[in-house]
Amino acid sequence: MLFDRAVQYIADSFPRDLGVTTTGRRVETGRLSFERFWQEYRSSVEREELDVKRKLEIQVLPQLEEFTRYPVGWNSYGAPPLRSDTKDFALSVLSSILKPRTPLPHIAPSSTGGLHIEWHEKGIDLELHIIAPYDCDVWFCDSRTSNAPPISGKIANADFGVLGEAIDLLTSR
Amino acid sequence: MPTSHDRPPGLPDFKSPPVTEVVLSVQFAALSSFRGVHAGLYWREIRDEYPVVSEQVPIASAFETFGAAPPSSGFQLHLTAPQPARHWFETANGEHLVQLQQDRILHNWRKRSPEMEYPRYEPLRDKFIGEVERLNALVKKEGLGEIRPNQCEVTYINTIASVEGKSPHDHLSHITPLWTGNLSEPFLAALETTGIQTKYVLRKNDVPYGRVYINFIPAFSAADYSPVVQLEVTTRGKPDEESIAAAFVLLDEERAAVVRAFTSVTTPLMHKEWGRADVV
Repeated sequence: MLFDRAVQYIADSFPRDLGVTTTGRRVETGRLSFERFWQEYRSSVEREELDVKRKLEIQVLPQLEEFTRYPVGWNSYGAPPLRSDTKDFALSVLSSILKPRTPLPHIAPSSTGGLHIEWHEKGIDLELHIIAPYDCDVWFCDSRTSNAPPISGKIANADFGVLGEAIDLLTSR
Repeated sequence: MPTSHDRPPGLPDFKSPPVTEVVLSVQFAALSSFRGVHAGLYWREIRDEYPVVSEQVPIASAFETFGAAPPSSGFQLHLTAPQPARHWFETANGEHLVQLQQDRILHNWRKRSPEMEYPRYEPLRDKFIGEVERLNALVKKEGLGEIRPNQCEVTYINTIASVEGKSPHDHLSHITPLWTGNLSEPFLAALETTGIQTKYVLRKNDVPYGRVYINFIPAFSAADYSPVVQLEVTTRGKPDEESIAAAFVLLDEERAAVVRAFTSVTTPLMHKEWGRADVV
């Protein structure tokens, strides 16, 4: 119908990263899109970012999905399964803090329906307990040097910058 | 219960804004037992107003975090487990759309013909409150839990057709101060088209709580293939608490942020064309 078409637009080739609210109004064009152009000429930084996402997708996501399917009382003490919003939040956090060469953490469900995310290697102990979205505790200690001060406490205001130094050490050591 | 508010004083106001779509979204802790049959029960309650129903793939959840590397493009994984569908409930003319999935409810207003006027935010907000509270009552009644909002989102999609009769694709500097089009060398003489993506952190008392995403996208009108620029302004953030009341307080703030961001990234020339009414 003509009136439908009056306000429909054909996206001209730029990547649409904000697609979470798209209502599917746009039509794919047959031309070589700028999105493909970007994919082909993506910078090395972006490629590495994709590597992190791929690692999370292949090695972490299936594990987390399994935790969400645990029965209530999976630990024999009435623990709930991992909340799916906590799973999504944890993936978002890992995606933002991990670097391409950061080792993947050991991940276990917590008795409160959250997640323990831990690294214990290279003299570094880093533990992140995600209790629920935006409710996280962190504990960090570097036994090899005293340059990086230990951390213990809640992460306030979703500010994960506090993990930066620990992740840098895990990645570079 | 949250109540409707008048337009905040001092907010930029346009007589003929180029808005063609508004999306209000509340993401909440997933109702793990929510299934298609429950969406059907919800539809039964709103069917008179929204008679057209369809299914779509679900929208991935999104969380704003700070301090570390910012999420570059909205973190989306290819989920391995099948996810319950997102349901669309549309009015007969397609102007209003309610979208529902197990962790999100949205209300879209869409300009479906050139004559259709933007109804303004306040009536849309009032409709959306009713829809969210109706859903909350249903999920409580069915023993599925309750709506506990964790992210709220407001998106305005604007369509800018021409700039003083010229194509907006190669006159983007007339539309936005973000783009000057200046070059260091004259080699690239004629600009064909460009797009811009920017994002900004929203702060309250210097504490970050959300982001604004600005996206200028060159496009073509499907009606006559004339060049247009689509300007999407999205705000997303975390409500102060996991309640519907707090979610709507945040949506109101985000809407104000969208309007101010829109005004900031567009030029006085365009403001005049759209009839900016709050300044002399």
